Amino acid sequence: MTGRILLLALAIVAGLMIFTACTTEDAGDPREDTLGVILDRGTLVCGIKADTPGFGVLNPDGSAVGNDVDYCHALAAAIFGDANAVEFKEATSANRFELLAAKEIDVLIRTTTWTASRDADLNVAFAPTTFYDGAGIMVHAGSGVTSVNELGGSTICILDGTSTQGAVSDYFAENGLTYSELTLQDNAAIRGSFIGGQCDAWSSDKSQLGGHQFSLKSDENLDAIVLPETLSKEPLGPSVRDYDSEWEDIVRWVVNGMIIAEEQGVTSANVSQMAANPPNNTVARLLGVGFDGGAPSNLGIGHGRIDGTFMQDVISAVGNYGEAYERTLEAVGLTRAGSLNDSYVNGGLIYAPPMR
Amino acid sequence: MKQYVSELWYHGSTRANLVNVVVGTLAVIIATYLVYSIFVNLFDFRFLTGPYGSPDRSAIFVFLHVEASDPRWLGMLKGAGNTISVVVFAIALASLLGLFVGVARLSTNPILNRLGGIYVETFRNLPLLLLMFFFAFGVFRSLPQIEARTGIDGFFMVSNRGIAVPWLAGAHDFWWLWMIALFAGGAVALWVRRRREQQEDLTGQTMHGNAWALAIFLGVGVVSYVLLLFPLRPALPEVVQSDAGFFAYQHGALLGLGYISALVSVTLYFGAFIAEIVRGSIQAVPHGQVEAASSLGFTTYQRFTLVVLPQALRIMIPALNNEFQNTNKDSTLAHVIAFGEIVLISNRIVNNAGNLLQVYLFIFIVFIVTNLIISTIMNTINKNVQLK
Repeated sequence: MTGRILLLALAIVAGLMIFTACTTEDAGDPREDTLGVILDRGTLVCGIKADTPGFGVLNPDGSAVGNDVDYCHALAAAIFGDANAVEFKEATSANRFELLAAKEIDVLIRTTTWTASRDADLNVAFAPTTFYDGAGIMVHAGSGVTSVNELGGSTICILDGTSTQGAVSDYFAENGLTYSELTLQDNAAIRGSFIGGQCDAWSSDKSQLGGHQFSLKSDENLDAIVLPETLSKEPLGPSVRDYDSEWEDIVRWVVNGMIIAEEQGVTSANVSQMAANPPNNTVARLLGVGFDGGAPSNLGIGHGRIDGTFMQDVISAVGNYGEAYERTLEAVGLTRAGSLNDSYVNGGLIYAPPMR
Repeated sequence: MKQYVSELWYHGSTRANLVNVVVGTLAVIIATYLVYSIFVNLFDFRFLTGPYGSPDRSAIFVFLHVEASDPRWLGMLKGAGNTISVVVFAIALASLLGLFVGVARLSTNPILNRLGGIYVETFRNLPLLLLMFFFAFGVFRSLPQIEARTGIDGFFMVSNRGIAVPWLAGAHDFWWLWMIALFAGGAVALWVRRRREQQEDLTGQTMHGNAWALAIFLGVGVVSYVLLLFPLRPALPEVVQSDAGFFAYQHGALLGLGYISALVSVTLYFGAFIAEIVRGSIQAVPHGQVEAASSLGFTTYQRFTLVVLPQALRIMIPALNNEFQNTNKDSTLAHVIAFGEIVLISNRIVNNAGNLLQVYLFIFIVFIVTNLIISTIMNTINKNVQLK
């Protein structure tokens, strides 16, 4: 009997000692090395949206298209020099942050709004915004409504788990309007409810509503209008885990690099020519080459673990910001000219800090 | 030395003890890690006082509507209330349906018999989730739109927004005091009944326990209703139209798309299982009992209600306990059809605040507590119907 108790005590003490030894180190140093993991694995794992034309459509064979998807390709090109060294995983609005925190994905590029509570509370850090969006409301054209302020007493369909819910709630409360919410789990269910009159209005980010408006007209011959008010700021962009600023820097500067490339007129067509003969210092630093016979400047992104010429691979694979936008978003009817997503040169918000 | 080691190694208990130490050590490491990580992550409960953020009015009772300004903890409680509001009615309706169909399947009437069989084999073999989608997006969506509603206007209205029925509305903020009065009245009535029944047993004198209890309960109810200035009054549903022409239900109770779809599919699904339990339990009553009752001159109805059903109840109650607990748990599937039950409400909090462990711990507690309550009730009934 004493032997049994002794053995039990021994097991408990040994267990606790090993446990303490394992955890003390973790607690002191929460840094991560996502880049190292990606390099070891040989592919980038990217969490994207599966069903939104323009941003992310995941095909059954594992390939994907969309603006978000292009940034995944850009990152793979920057790391491996191969834009196709990327594996796509569907991230839903309900599981996206868990996928990221559980290291199932290396980067989340899935029309995710940058908010203070997400930034502070969740294990997530936001890279630069790639698309400036905002919540809007769409109604049947036959309703005769021309402003959100006329929607008091209506029923509004909203996708569950999105920041649109809060935006609509805040806007209606501020304007003293009441409404009922029908919250559904996917866009197909909302579409059916909107057509069937279970809800009077459909609220989502305006970028999404444009696509739905287009397909309602083409598939059902149903006229809908997106009301002019924008209810919220929805800056969408890539996000990574907290405590990994090296990996965050790479994501950040690939996006910034694509914006600078557009400002400087570097495109997928002329990038090799620009690299061979850079017109100015800005382009030379962007492409990691020397200007006018000088030595290339080392910006230190990736700390030597990715090539200094990574932006050449990115631009030759997916092009600059404008090229990616035109190929994916312009194609689904999201006009860029004059919108918030125009370059700052033309009065928009797309602006990158200098690469030097 | 070598011999000593080998003796020790081949001694039966040494190796067994070694395995014990290794397995025990691993178990302690894993258990400590789980407790540690849960506590590290669970430490922060501040998110509970933050506002819920968006309204959810899919509940049938107004006091269960979640408002945007409600604190998150209140939202979760209301979500639990919504779960209970569907489970209680679903259990009651599924039991009635199951009893009826179970008996029908044993009937000699071929039509009743076949219909019962078709119902059971259909609904028992379909996934509950599919039923919910079918009713929410197939059946109820194809009902007329709210402008063209059917039913009786101002009393019972049916549209694809839901079914509006008359209900009670609180006339002032303290209407719930009447509920407490009713509760107290009921408790006193039961106590008096018991006292009088005991006296009746003791003295043999008729003491009218039931009549007294009823009189006390009604008396307390009516007097407190008047004293509290008629706290609950009937409220008829109506349809209102906004300035811009949008229709909405108001007053009464609204059995919304999510609630009604959840109630119907859960009832039909578990009704099929309960019907089989009822049928099996009745068949398990020895045939000699039926023959004995017949030879004593019982009518078919008396034979069933006085001889067969009481004995069948003894057999079916433990199995029903399982089904009722499953009803409770599977009601969570209703989150996919926009019914604001506990999982839907909680998932929104997780999405906004990200405190998954704390929120899910709350859900676990709610289901453990509600299932234990179901168990306690069923075990009490079980004790009362068993042979003593």
